[in-house]
Parts: sequence; structure tokens; C-alpha cells
Amino acid sequence: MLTKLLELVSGEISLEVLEDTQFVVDLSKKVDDVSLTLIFNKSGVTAEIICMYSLGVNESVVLTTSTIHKAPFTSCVTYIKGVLFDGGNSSYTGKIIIEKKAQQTNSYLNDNILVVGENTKNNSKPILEIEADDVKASHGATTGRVNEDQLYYLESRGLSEVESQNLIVEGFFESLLSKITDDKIKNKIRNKITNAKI
Amino acid sequence: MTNQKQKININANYKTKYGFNVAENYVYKTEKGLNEEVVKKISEMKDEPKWMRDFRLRAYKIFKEKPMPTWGGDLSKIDFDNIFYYLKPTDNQKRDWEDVPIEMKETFEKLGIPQAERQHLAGVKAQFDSEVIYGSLLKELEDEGIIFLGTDEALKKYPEIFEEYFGKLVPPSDNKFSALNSAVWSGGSFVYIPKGAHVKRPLQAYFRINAQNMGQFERTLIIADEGSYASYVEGCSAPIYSADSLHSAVVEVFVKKGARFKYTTIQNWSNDVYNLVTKRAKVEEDGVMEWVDGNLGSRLTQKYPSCYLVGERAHGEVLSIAYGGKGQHQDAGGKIFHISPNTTSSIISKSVSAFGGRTSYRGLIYVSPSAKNAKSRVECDALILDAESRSDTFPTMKIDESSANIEHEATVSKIGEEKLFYLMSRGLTETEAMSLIVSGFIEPIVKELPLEYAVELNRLIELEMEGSVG
Repeated sequence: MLTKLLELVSGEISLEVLEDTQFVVDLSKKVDDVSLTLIFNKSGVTAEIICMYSLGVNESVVLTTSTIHKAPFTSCVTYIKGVLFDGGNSSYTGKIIIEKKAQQTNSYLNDNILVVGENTKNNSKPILEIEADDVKASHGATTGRVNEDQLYYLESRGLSEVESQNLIVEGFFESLLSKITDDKIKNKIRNKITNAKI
Repeated sequence: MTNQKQKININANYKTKYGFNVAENYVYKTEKGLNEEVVKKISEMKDEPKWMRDFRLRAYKIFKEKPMPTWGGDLSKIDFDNIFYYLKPTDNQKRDWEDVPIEMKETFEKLGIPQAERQHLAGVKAQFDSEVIYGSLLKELEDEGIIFLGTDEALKKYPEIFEEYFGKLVPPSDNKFSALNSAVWSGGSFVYIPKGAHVKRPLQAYFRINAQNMGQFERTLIIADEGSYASYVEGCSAPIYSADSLHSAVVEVFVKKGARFKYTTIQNWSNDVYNLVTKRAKVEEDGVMEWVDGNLGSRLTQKYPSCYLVGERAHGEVLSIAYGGKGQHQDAGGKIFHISPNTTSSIISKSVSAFGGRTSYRGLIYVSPSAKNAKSRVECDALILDAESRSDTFPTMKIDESSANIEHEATVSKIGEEKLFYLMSRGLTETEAMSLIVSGFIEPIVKELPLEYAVELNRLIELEMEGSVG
């Protein structure tokens, strides 16, 4: 699968998926309002969207992703992972639209927000609009705080609270980073995400 | 694929079972359409106190000013001028079944209402067009201080309780249809469960539209006082006319400290009814509110029962099942507002669309900054049974608190080939396998339904599957 790095700065990006592609979204510029649309016009193509962000003090992001399946036998997986530090404000809308002709489509969206700080805000809107019957479309979304048990375990091994938190955040992103097939892009995103931490 | 021809059509026999009507025989009926005079006339007919008349007129103004909602289903075909807003079927509510006028009695007997009462229920209300025509309550419950009245009757008998709670949870300005209901409301149930009382058998209300172009605007007000427990079941149906009818109810439920209330609806309006309902519950400390919401009928339903969890450790639940058949759009779901710390909630929604029908899940989970450690789980699953049908999911999660734990999951799919294959390899026919899978799919909700509805729903599914072409 081809891997492409998309640097979302602002405005709307709309792309047609012509071959099997993994789209890695770089949101490190912390831009306010961006949207990415993938259009599946060609039968049989597969795509992935991988997007990670870490919001520090009073940073915010407004992100929309849409996958529009117009042709049959297409599939797409969207992975979103965000970490919110003090005052972080995330607003995400993830749409899966499967049109009538797009039978045998498989589309999945997963949106996980890990809350580390206080006074955070999180809006999440995963949307499904399905007009074909022989398809599978699903999404999962979670918002949760850093697990107390995990923190306790790490701290009992001698790590400070901040170190423990950072380790948990790294692990949280690592599960998604490992899905990026291009090592150069993987490392680039890993560095950006790690540097964004407080 | 052959199995795509097999579908469940839950209301295939609606016409014979519910779709009949009896001759219109009423004491009073307003002219078609709505204006200030009609609102005044309704209030006058009911001999209401001045504050209620003013409330209605204020609501009517709000209704006129508010634009039609543009999200959700297609409301553009509703012709407000072509609807009767008030029809009084009899002089007064009867307490003895024998006194109910014969045509209404026949209607409800066909629907099995008095029979159900004898077997399972603590109390019954039957509404015919605009008014409650029959009501009963077990003697021992009445002695315990439990109140179960038609809403109009309650306004006369208990004006203080009424004024304290009425319209406080769903004000007229909430939305266009709550304003309409507030202006022309008539009928509905009033329930008061005193402190610590446990009502083991459900209270039931049945709403029937009989007249053509009728609008039914019942108003239900429920107060479950501290530490009490009760459950309430409502059912509804209407004859099939080619003209549209409108049903727009408002339901307010107050769940006090430590109380528990369960509200079950089996909505089975005919396919020409617009069903636009506002249902809301306020749940105090340690209180539990459960909404069980079944939507099988109507042309378009827009209904999202909601819970305001205002007390610590309050819990809210919505279980929603929808079936969207030919020409139907079920836009249903639930809303939970976490206002206080340690509040918990869950929404489970299951929908089936077939024969070109459409089902939509629409929901909201809101966690306010004051709600520490709130937990919520939302699960919605949809089955699409043919290529003409569609299904949507529009959930919103707005989380303004850092310690919240929120999960949401949704899937839309057709019946899995591998599940069918597995069952068929065990010797079941394709039809039996299909019916088993659909029954299993809706099972979590069906087991929450009162017995007679659960049995009927299951039977309908099995029946229809047997008759389908393999």
C-alpha cells in the first residue's frame, strides 16, 4: 500500500482514491478548521486515514473527515487519536457516506481521545449515512482519562507522575504509529507528536 | 441472492388489526385549522383557570414565530390548516367500562385494552381523539395515595401540584412542536407516585386517533416522589386514511431522590401519521429513569427521549427500537445531559429498515463541567434488509469535563452470510435462520417490553418470515 503524508494547514482538501493508499495526516501545525474528504469512485480500492494530534494548553482543533463511497467493493478505515492536555479543545466530525451503488463496501472509523489535563473540551460526531444494503459500516468513539491503575503501576516502579503520563501517551500513539507502513513518515510523525507534549 | 427477498414486514396486517375506524360521533369538534379563537375555544370547552388559558395563548404565539425545523425528516408536507385540533368524543371520562359508548368500546376491545387490564395492569387510561374517555385504577393503589388521572381532570383536582410542575421541563419555547402542543394540548396521563410507594404492576395508557385529519396533542405529566418505583406503558394506533394526521405529544417526568421510573412506549401509528414528540425526564440524586421506546408505525417519527441527570449518582437509560418499512422514516434516538458528578447513562438503539424504509439514530451525550466522573455508553446497531432502504447514524458527544468516560459504538450491516450459513449447516431452513437472526438482533430490547407486546413483536416477525419467498 502506498503511504502519503498530508500536511493539513487550513481549508478543505478533497481527494479521489485511485489506488490503495494510506493517508497519514500531519496536524502538528494546530490549525483551527480543516477538513479532509476521500472520494471512492473507482471500484475495489482501499484506503486508510491515520491522524494523531496532541493538544497542549488552550490549543484547539476543528477537524472533519469524510469518506464518500460511490463505487462498489471499496473499503476504508479511519483512525483518529487525540490527547488533550490542560485546556485542550478538540472538535471532530467523522462521516462515512455509502451511496446506493457502492455495494460490498466496508468502512470503519475509530476515534479515541485520551484526556490527560483538566478543563478540556471534546466534541465528537461520528456520522453514518448508508444507502446500500450489502455493506458493513461502523464506528467507535471513546473519550477517557488516563487510567489510574496504569499510572499507579508506573509510579510504583519509580517513575514520576509526568514521566508516567508521557509513557502512557507514547503507548497510546504507538499503537497507531505502528500501522504506518512507511518508516520515514512514521518517524517524522512520531517526532512531531512527541515534541508536542508538555 | 435469494435471501434478499426475505424480509420482515412488521405491520403487513396493520389494516385488519389496527386500521379500522368507527363512525365519528362527537360532542364537539373545532373547525379545521388553527388560530387564536380555536385556542380560546379549547380552553373554554375545558373550563380552565385563567393561567392555563394565558399559557396556551402565549404558546400559540411562540408556535407561530418559530420556523419549521429543517434537520431530520421531511416536514414540508404537514398542512397545519388542514387539521382538526380538538375533538371531544364524550361528555366525561367513564370509570366503568360498561358506560363507555359502544363504538369506542368496540374499538378498544378489538385492540385488547380491557382484557389486558384484567390480566396485568394496575391502572388504565384510554384516549379517543382528544379526550381520555375511560380510566381505572386498582382500589388498593388509590388508597396508597397513587394518583392516575387524565391530565385535564388532574388540572381541576390538583391545581397546586399541576402548576408547580406543568411545563417546567419542556417549556413552550423549547421547540415548534412543544409550542404547538402547549397551545392546544388535550388529554394525556397525570401520574403521581407518593414517597416510598412501589407500584409493581404497570400503569397503562392507550392513545387512539379515530377521526380523519385529526391532530392528537396529549400531554403527560409524571411525578415519582422520593424513593418510589413505578412503570408506565403507552401504546397507540390509528385507522388508515389517505389524509395525513399529526400526533405531537409532550411528556414530562420528574424522578425525585432515590426514585425509579420506567416509561415504555410502543408507537404503532398508521403510515399517514406524523409523530413529533418531546419527551424529557429530570432525574435527581440516586434516581433512575428508563425510557423504552419502540417505534414501529407512523410516516415520520422524530422523537428523542431525554434525561437530565441533575442529582449526584443519577442514572438515565434509553432503549430504542425502530422499524422503518415502506414509506416510513424513523428518526429516533435519545439524549442524556450529565449535570452532576458520578452520573451514569446508557443508550442502546436497534433499528431495522426494509421495503425502502429509512431509520436514523440521532443522539446527544452532553457532559457539563460540573459533572465529575460521568460515565456513558452508547451502542447503536442497524440492519438494512434490502437495497432500497437506508440507515443513518448521527450521534453527538459534547464533553466539557476532563474526567468523563464516554464510549460510543455503531454498526450498520446486512444479515451476515456466515451467520446464515452456520445456522443452515445446523439444519435450519434459510427462512428459519433469518427469523432467528432478526429475533436475536432485537432481543435485548424485546426482553424489556411488557409481556404482551414482546410476544406480539416476536410473533409478527416469525409470521412474516414464514410467508416470505425464499
